[in-house]
Amino acid sequence: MAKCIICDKKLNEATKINKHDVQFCSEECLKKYEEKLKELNKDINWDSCC
Amino acid sequence: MKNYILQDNNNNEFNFSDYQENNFLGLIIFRGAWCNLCKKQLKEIQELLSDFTNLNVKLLAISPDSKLKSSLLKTFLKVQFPILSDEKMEVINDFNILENFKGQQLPKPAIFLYNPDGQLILEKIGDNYEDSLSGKNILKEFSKVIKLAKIS
Repeated sequence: MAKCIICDKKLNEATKINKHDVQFCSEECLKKYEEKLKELNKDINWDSCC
Repeated sequence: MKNYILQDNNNNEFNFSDYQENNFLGLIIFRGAWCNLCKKQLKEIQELLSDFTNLNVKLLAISPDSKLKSSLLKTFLKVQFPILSDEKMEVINDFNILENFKGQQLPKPAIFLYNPDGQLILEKIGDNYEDSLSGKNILKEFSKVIKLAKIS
């Protein structure tokens, strides 16, 4: 069953949003995803493990 | 190869054999999106993706991360091969590659290569989290074994 990757709600076929290779139930969840994406950009040290 | 099935990041069934079709299948096992060395490795692999494709290798990366984190990582790194979540470590456990890291069971860095018949023809398991192969070295290892597989 297809679910929103952010809130885990069952997707409505008519209103679901496809972006970034995944599906969202709303613009709000898409926005949350994109905010999390920005967080990944912070403080990356490619040569340090963790 | 066992008939491994995980869910993709959209909750659809992802069957490894179906994905492989008639190609070689390269599995990349990594610790998660929080691991910078893992990110670096995936980025390097992506940069060499056309070389892997020329060898008829389809790539698949797996970690114990959630689907959300796996998807974010794929988007962030602009990776064009699947990054799957194996939160319950159903597939990862099968390879006996777990180590204790800061009180948590995590996979050691590992790569596996299957031929088009599903036979394992290469496995490289790092001794610890720092012992992972660069994208360039993975390509080199795969090329060597594939060349031999084609001769025999």
